[in-house]
Amino acid sequence: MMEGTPVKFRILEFLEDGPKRTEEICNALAKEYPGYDNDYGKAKIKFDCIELASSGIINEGEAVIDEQGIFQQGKLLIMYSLSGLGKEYLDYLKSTVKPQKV
Amino acid sequence: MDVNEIRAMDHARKKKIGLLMGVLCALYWGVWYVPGYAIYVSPLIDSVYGNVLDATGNADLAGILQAVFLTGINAVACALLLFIWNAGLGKSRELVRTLVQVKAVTKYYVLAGICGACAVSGTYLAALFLSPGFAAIAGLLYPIIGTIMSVLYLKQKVTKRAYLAVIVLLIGGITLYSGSILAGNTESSNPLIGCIGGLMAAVGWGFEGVVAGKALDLTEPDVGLHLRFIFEGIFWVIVLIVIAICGIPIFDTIGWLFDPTTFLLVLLIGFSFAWCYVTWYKSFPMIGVARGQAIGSLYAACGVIFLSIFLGPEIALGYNDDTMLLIVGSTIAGLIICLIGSFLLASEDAEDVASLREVS
Repeated sequence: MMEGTPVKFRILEFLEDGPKRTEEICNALAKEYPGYDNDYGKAKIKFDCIELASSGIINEGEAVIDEQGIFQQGKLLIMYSLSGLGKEYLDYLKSTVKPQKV
Repeated sequence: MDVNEIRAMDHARKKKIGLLMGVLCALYWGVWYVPGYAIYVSPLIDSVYGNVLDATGNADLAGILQAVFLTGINAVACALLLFIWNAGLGKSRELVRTLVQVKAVTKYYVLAGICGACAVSGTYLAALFLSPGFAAIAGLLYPIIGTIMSVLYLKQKVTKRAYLAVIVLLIGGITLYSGSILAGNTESSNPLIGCIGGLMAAVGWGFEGVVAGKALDLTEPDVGLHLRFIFEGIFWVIVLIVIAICGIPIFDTIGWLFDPTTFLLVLLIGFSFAWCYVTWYKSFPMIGVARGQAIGSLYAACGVIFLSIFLGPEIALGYNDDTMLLIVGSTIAGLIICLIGSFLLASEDAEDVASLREVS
């Protein structure tokens, strides 16, 4: 429903069916948004996740160090899930968002 | 290093970025005072006062409309320059994607634009009808409203140390300008308009931070900030057109925009104000509205420093031989208190800021 809407909206919807790790979120969304399928675009999506976690909208769960360089070598790959506030925001978005043509 | 150590480092880095954004906001805001002061004597702004006075015969109205005109020019310059900023960051499409979501988030930026318009024009009115010192002190009160609303409305956590830092920073800012108020540099033709302007600044910026904080939960700071300036720009253009339709020659000096010196001044106020706001908005998701606004209130100290560098301390602080000791003394005391407040915020435990809300 939220394809083509602002990236943070889509991250919330993407996490609706369960927790996902940094690289899963960034790789999947980078393919959806034109101009994001590169290191800079993925870094922007990762930063959006950091801001959402900082605001308490998504929770940081288990983390592993990216030793093989799957996403960013030496950095953490964090499992993110929706918090209570995140679920409230997602319900709010579902009732207010204007669907976009993709 | 194990996972927990890296996670703690990431949280410390996030807090550092948030504080750095707040400090940069204060620096750009302080820098903005220099072209903001200079543009008042350019024909683009200076002649507006004379034109309106000739047309209406009312000096107070001429002063108010001069402030409105300058605020409008400032907002439009910021909105236009931010197109370059967002294009450079590759966020133009995100801007459009966000703009169309009126019901979900854009309505908050419309509100933030109106609150900001109220605050910026209010600070000009306070400076014009009372004194720049009073305007700065009135503006400095905005973190009180921002902090209260961020706790009540946004449900953000604020630690005791952060509350203390907000209070110390406010005391520092007020001390900074108290000398010029005590020295009696507040002669005014209409102090009531000045006081209303001061109130508009404090309430406008306080509420803008909270409304923007709500929208920033779901959007990019660069994009949100740009939307806020687009709406403020549209608001002022409509206001100025209505004023012009009423027969007041508000646009008579607009041709001066093509004068190279004036154009450079408009560019400088646009860049400094736009970047000040970019960094202000970027600090909110990192360290919260209360801390972002408190550290941003260092603009008062930065303004004094930059004006002293570019205009000389006598003009910047407004002292003479009789009042030098009082004004310079209060300024130095204020700067020291501001440094203590900043240290309190900077030395807060990064884990207390890791999540701005209670996680459930």
